[in-house]
Amino acid sequence: MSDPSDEALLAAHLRGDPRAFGTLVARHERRIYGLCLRVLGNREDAEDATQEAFLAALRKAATFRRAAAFSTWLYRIAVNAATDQARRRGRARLATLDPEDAGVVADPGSDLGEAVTVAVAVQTALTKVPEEFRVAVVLCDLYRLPYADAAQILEVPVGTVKSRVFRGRAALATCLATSDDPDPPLGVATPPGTDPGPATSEPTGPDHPRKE
Amino acid sequence: MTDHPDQEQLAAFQAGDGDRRQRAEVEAHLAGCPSCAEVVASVEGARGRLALLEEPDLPPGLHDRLAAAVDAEAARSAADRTPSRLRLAGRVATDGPVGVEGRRERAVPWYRRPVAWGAAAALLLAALVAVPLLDRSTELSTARGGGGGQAAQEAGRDTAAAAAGSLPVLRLPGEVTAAAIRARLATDSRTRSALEGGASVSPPESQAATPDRPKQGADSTSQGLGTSAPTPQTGPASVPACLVAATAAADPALRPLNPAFFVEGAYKGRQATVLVTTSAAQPGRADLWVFPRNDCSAAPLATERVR
Repeated sequence: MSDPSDEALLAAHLRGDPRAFGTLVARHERRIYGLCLRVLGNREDAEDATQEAFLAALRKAATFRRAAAFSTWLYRIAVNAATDQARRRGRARLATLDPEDAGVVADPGSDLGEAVTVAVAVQTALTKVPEEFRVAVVLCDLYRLPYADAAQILEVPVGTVKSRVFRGRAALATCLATSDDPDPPLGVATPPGTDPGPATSEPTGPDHPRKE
Repeated sequence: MTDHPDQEQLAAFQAGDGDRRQRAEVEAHLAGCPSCAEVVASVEGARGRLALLEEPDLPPGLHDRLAAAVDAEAARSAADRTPSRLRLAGRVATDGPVGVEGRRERAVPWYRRPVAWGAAAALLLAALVAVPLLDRSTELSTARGGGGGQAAQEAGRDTAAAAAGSLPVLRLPGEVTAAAIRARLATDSRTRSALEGGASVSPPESQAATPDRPKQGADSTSQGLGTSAPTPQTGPASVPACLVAATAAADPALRPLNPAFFVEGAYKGRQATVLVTTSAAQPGRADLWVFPRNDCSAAPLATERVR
């Protein structure tokens, strides 16, 4: 028999199968941890958020609706766990980022040292992107989820996801361009936390290209 | 395109949106506008840099830590798992120590504690303007209307109904339709949690930390919202009677039904009391059952699938 689907495992869990949920955890733990790590920027918080996410999923298992894929549902829980963790911890956690946490996979023959340096820089810059945009970038650019899936996870319209991804990338580009600066200002087109609206883009839009 | 495209337009362009004409306009603008082209290029560049981040390995020990945490949580909830919510009524609030590992790990989940039901109700009621409709002393047998004996038995077996004690009441300004309820579910987390409550499930994330101690249930009672002190009011509609009638009308494949909440409003111009149920047999399924206002003594006037 082929491996049961996530949804079948969840159903088995709800019927009382004691192993089913553990199988789901094993199946998704690496992705969920990676998601939390990218959003939070350090291993310790990411581990805590990962645990919270799976415990929340366990408690909410009966609320799962088949209208969505299990992974969509789980990602939503994980994003909430990660953002909750970020709120608990505040922002001053970046110093603990170490190269191992950047999650570099070395290609044979490549310069691992340089790859690590760049990856750390990218992760560090990513963590400076406003959370709302960062989460969208992580889902769409790192996890390669379709915009529609990210919209379901974040419970916002697809257009909002596209806008957040765009703004997140723009902020990331600015952070990377200024990463020599020990405490670079955020180069974000709109204030953090502001939902992108049609009339908010004049001040830093293309009419006023940022000088690097 | 003479004006610069705004960020929304550039975001849509980069996401591949737009018809050929719209895309051609943006492309033509980018070809002649270095500043916009630079914005798009830098954003594309950032996307490329992100590709350098690989999926990290799971840190050593995390798998075991997760497995242990999940096992502990499962054991806790298994110890507390009841065949239905009926046992809520007789349950004592002190049957376990409060978990020590944090707000979300506790021996007896708050939503299973009878005293905390007052708090749960308060949370739901805050948004739903809910009114307890059921006097807990109401017996199924006396509440039975035209539902028929077998249905009454089935509803009786579905003891979750009786145990819920009372249900939140949602008031909708316009016509009560499945679409209107879906819209409310999509926009109102408390309505969602009311529906999920019908499936005997955990509290919504955002509310998980609030009603953590039994005494908070007492607090909510003091606000007059607790289920322990139902206010006699609004009429004869009761959870068991409505549930019996709905169950009698329901496709057997949906049974047993769990009551989630009531909706008061107009259905096809008629004042109605609408019961929304979930199906224990079909997770994810929800239906509405339309009754004359405050009268579940006969079969429902209409039913619609909510989802």
